[in-house]
Amino acid sequence: MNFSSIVPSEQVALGLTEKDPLTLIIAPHAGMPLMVELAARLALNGTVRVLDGGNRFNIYPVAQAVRRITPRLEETLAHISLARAFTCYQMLTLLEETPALPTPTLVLDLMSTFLDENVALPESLRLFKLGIAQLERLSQAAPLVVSVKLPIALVADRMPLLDLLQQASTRVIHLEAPRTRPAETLPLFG
Amino acid sequence: MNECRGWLLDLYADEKDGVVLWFIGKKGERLRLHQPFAVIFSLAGPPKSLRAAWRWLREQPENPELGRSEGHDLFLAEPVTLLTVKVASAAAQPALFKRCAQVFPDLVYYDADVQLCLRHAVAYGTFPLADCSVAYDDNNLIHELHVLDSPWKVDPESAPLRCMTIEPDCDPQHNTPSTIQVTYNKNKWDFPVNPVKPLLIDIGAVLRHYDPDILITNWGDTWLFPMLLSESERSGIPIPLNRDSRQGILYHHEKSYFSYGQIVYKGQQIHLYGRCHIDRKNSFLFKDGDLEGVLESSRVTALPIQTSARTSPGTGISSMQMVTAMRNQILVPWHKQQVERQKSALDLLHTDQGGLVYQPIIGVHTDVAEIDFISMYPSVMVRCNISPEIPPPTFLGSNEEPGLIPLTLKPLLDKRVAIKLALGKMHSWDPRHKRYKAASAAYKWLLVTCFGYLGYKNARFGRIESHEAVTTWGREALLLAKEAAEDMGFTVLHMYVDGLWVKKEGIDRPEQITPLLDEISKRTGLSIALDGIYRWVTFLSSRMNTKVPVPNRYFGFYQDGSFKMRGIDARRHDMPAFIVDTQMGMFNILGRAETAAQIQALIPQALDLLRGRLNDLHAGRIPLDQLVMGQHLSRELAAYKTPSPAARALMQLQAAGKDKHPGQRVRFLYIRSGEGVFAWDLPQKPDPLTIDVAYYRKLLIRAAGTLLQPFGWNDGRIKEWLSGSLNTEFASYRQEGLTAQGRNMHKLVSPTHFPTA
Amino acid sequence: MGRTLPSITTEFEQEQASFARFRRALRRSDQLALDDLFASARNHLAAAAYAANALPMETFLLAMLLEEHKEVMRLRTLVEQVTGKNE
Repeated sequence: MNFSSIVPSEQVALGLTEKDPLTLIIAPHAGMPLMVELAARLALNGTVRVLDGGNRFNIYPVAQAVRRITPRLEETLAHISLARAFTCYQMLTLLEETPALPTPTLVLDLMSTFLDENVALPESLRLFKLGIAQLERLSQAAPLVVSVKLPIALVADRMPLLDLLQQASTRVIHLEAPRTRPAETLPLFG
Repeated sequence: MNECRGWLLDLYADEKDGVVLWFIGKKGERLRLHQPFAVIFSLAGPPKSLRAAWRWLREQPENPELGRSEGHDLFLAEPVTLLTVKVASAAAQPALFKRCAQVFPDLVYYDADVQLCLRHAVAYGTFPLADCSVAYDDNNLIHELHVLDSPWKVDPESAPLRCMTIEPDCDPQHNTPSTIQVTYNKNKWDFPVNPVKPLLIDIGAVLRHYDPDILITNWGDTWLFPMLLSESERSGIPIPLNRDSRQGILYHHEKSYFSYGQIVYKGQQIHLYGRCHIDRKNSFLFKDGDLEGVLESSRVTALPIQTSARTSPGTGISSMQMVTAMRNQILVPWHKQQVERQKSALDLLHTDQGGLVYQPIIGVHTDVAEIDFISMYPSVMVRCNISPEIPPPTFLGSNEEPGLIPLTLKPLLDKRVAIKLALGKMHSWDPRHKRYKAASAAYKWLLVTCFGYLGYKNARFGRIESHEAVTTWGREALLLAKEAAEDMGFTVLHMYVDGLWVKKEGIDRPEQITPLLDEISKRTGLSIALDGIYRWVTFLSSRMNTKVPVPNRYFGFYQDGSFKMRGIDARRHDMPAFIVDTQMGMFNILGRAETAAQIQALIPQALDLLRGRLNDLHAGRIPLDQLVMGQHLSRELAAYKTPSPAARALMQLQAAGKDKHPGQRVRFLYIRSGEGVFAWDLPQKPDPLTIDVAYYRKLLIRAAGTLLQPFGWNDGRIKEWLSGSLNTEFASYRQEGLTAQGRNMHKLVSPTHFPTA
Repeated sequence: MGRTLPSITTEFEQEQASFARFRRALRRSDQLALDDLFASARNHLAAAAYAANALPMETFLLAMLLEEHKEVMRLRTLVEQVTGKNE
């Protein structure tokens, strides 16, 4: 996944130390390349919490990102504290149980579990609103960056959730779909 | 006061009678008894919300008895303050709960959606076909109920069940049935489907006369019973499918739902009262263990027989957990509450793995024994005491009190091991043999599922850390086994999660493996058994690159002549019978070999079989039904950019007015013209002359190639042989060193080019 | 069911694919030799998974080296047999 982000990660990282308590990133793949960079850079300076709502946290690119900056790989990776949620109930409980500490927090693919077709929309919306209140609570103590997929990935009836999230965020960053490079037709291995 | 000693057949709620229990008495009587049975569930939450709930519940027509209590939530250290709700009528509780949850969605609910049978199991120890003694009065009201039986008994006394079979004479999806065949003991009746009134009268008469306990059908859920019931209503002729004439029929509607990105289809279900209906075509368990498997599963899960027949092992395991929890005063949450704790990303790197899967040493091997841990993951769960409320283990064992999961699993595991050991010593003509095999299969599914369930996102008592701990210690156990084998002079050819293939010169008797098994048991604390000693086994390489090994892809023959085959075409359910049968035929020819050298000598025979079958194909001698492919559709039609063959077949069915639900199988033939496929369930029959013979030929050669590739025959070489251009004299053929390294058999070589040492 | 970390096989294939440009620029015979190296590393994927290295490519390279060394040892034995010498 190599696409150049429109907003360089350094700027976003800087943004975290300034006045944006709750940053929302709307991007393809829930902005994973950018979140990976962020996780790596933040881990250099100390603990960073990652709440994974879409089963997306792949440590390998994070390790590579860290290694590009410093040889102290394991030490840096140990600063990343991770918890995963696989249902919207779990996501809400996860947010409720996370203490409001002065530790930067990344929330990956927040909406994913709330799009589960097996959960009725009113219930999903109810839980999501409670979740947003938790995000606001956490962002009082330290900056929070939340990522979600692009709106085209959403079924129409779930759009209100994204609207609520955008309203609650203090800064919203949209990243475009990557421009497709001409496909390099390389022969298959072996 | 009347007394009865007998087996419990069915149990359900009744608005008037509380709970109805049907017994099969030892004297042959069928009794409908009843008893009052109150159901209790609880609510937890902020005191203000609980007070509001209290006020609301007080007004409800079910008139529940409310109270205050404390309970133990597995995931909370402190006791939980509860508002308890006792509903006198078991039948009324589900509706009250549903309404309450809609009005108070923020509260936490415990013991709220537990099935009646499970609650009864907790209160009385009952389970389907339990041996009980009952005291009842002249109104059939139960005064005393004692269960004299345990689900863990290996040889319980069998109930004399009356089983009747009802089946249409063909698949209603494919053709319209013309006869319904009813079987009971040695009697067989064939009733024409039309005219329908006599059919209803006749089936009704048979049902009343023989009064079966179990009705086994084909397509009873999806076609037969709906048809009979709607005709009965239309004509006014009653059909006594239920024994309990006061109850209606319980319909479960069909549905398709999403699970991990796949569409799963659940057919409609028809449940009866006082009698158990099992639809062979809608039963997961029936395929594996027949009726016995369903009954055994019911015994240990306490789920009703009709439910056991139709649900997945996941439901079974969940039920067992709920019963164990309630018996140990642990609250059963409605939603999964607990989430993963924060852990270092580095920890995830170590724990988030599956079983160890090794790449095998490619080629043909002799002197090989396969050893497997018995139910490895469940055994690890019991031995290491892995349970959501217990900290993950730090060694292959535990010093703590058994947690919920081990408490639930241990009796099942012990029973399965006991049955497996007994089966090992039993003759196949022993009357218990069939039941033991069915039980072993049913328990295997439950045990296999319980590990997955531990990590399942919706499991009430699941916990991802526990799930990961199981694989972690499973990997440790496998490595310890490998070390033991190597310490004792064995070469490890292949390892796959819970099994090892070990080789030592001269291995041909089970006794030679026993010291290794003992040593592994000693080092790991887990049971491990010999699966078999192979005459020869071959591990296959990748189709695309013969130097790349593929895990779990092999075939071979045991010393007793039986075979094992994994990961190749013959086991794929999609493939047409023509392909599968031919491949098996060729395989069985090779199976006669005692040594690797003899395999080569048998190849010409296998190729002759192949040639014969291809000739049959070209001559049109293969019946069409043997050429039918069956594939599941993985998504909705609209989601296909280029329709797969199965999708194209489905479109044909839809155009003809028939449909399949996502997740169902679509059957079709490959034809030369038009869309390339012909759906099998269309009303018109396909023209045999349009069969795409070339494509079936290609598929068959590919299947043959998979089998023969380890011996130096790829598809190209097979085609050459078939066209007669390859010399079959292997006079100067050398057999040595049949491993992939240094071998370039994937290139076409004629015997004269073969290197000589 | 909760698997977040990609399988070792997926990771291996990604690492292999990341050398696609390098491979393309090689002569055809060199490409085949490179393919062999990667194929040989596949024999040790289970051990690589167990190693749980945050940079798995390091383990894959070691696996390639391991296979090369086995080949060297095999050839050495063969040479000694043929020449009857102990070098």
